[in-house]
Amino acid sequence: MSLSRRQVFRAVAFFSAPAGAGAYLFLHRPAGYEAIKETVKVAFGPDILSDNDLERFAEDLAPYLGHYLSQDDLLAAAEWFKNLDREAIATGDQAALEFARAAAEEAPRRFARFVATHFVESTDFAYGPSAARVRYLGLFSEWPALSAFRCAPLVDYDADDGWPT
Amino acid sequence: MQDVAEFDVVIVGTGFASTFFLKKLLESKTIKRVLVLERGSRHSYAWQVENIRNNNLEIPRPHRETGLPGKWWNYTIGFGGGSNCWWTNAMRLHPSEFELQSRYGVGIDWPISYQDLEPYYCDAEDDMLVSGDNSSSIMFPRSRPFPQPRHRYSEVGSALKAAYPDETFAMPTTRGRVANDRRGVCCAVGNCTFCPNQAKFTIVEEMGHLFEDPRVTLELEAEVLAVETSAGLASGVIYRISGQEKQARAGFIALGANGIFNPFILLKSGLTDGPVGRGIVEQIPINLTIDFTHAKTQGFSSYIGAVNHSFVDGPQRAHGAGGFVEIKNFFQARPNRDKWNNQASAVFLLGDLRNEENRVIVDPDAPDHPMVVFKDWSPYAYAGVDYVRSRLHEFFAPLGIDRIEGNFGKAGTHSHIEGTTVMGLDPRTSVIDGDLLHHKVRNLAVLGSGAFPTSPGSNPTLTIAALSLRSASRTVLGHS
Repeated sequence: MSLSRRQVFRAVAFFSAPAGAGAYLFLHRPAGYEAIKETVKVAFGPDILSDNDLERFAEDLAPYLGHYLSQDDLLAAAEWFKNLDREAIATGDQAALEFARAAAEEAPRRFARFVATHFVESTDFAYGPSAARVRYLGLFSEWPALSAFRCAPLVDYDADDGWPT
Repeated sequence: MQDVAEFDVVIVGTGFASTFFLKKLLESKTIKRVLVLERGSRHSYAWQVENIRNNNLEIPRPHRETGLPGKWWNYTIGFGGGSNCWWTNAMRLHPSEFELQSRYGVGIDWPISYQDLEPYYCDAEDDMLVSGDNSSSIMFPRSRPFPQPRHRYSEVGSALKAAYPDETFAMPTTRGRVANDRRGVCCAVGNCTFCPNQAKFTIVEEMGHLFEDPRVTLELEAEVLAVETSAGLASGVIYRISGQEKQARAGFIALGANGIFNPFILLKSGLTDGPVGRGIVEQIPINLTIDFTHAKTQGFSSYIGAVNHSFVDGPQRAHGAGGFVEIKNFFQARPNRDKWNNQASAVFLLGDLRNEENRVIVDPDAPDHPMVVFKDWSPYAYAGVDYVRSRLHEFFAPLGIDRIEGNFGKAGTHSHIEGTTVMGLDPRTSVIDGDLLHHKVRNLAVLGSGAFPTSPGSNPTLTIAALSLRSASRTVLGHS
């Protein structure tokens, strides 16, 4: 997807703006929205969601960024996003992905964790982490994604039960 | 003032302290009439889950607070008190917590020992069907097994257990491990304040029947204003209900409001002997997010899996606070598909010593309300934080660490209000004795964690319950 002139303008305004204004703009499309999509691609692979699912996920999640993340978190994410080699990531270039993943766990880690956490909670990734493509089930769709994955009575990992039978 | 009713015992509050006191009391056939006064309303747990709130109060915490920025004090007013919103950790205190002065020359010894409380710990665990790890008796000696099996560790918890086998155990908890006629099984989603499975112990669900006993009169939305005394003994209480003041007479009174309102009621009653209200304290926290190289957060059967006590005891306690670290199963993914689940939250809670500059007073601008003045934790607490911080990487290294991110001593709340009606042997330095009886007014018990002479590196609830069972047994029931 290419950016519109308006999106480019707002993104440039964001990256060159003072911190407060920058964070404000980052909360709104396209910058935050694009950064969410890019984080998913970096963290889980460029083809992990269909374009349509990725768009929906980013649209759903973007409004929550400002509620849960600080301005410092958003600025760190913006800086990381600015330096991404997005073309290489889109082709699945392993070196670029590894570099971007490592960077995502540094300064922008709170942003990256926020996106990654909601990705796992909102898709069926947890059931098949090795799958090439997963489905977006809806933001905060705790069922069946998160609860089922985490609910010991429903999913048994054959771990030590700790009690004589 | 209207009717004056007569009772054997008046109990103030319906939280852990009051309800366990009541439970023990009702074992006696000589107790004929008990009045229980609860400031809040009674809501079923289903109501709380449906309404996503534990009570219907517009001002849920009617006190003012000042001092350390960010520090606040939490409690729940309503039938069942803190049992409605608690996260169900039911730990015993380590034996060293009772004798910090004897062992390490700091703080003050409690007037009772771990051994004194041990049978009552067992009773409280049975009453609350605690899930626990019997191998923990190596650190916390016990005379009876836990009534429910322990919860299962996550991979991270298992790694911690492997690294420190004699100091790491499954967190004792009242989250159900095995379904029974009282409780469902914990689903581990970490929404304990409004547990969707009713898998945790609450007074509303599991001890509400005590208040249906024909000997018990429960008055809801009844605000206790003062304890009345006559000839050196408590003679009754004055309380307000439906806008009217009422009086109840009793041969014994037990205050179980909480660590803020118990001293407030004493102060309003003119019972100012000893350090009433002085020394308010709770644990100082260290919140960590840990990225693990290999260990994953999965396989657990409850929100908090492993708890480690490596820092609770030892020579460092002479210089700084100690406590425990719990591994939370709070889910947060790493932005890396190969390590997306290699992360855990961990929380250290370290105890503190009382500082009498931190206190509960009658609000000078609103004398019908208490005010909490908390300047800061003590240097002893911060020394403990520094000690843990200096050891963190070494401590977690056996688990394989990519990164540790921490918040050290950040002010917040853990809903543990301690040290405001402290127990001790000396009436000049304490308010109540080891049986929780007021030093001067010998038919007045002051229950709850306000009695703690030091803030332990532990969750307080099980100890609150055990102290109440012991107090009722040794005071009203006359057992020794």
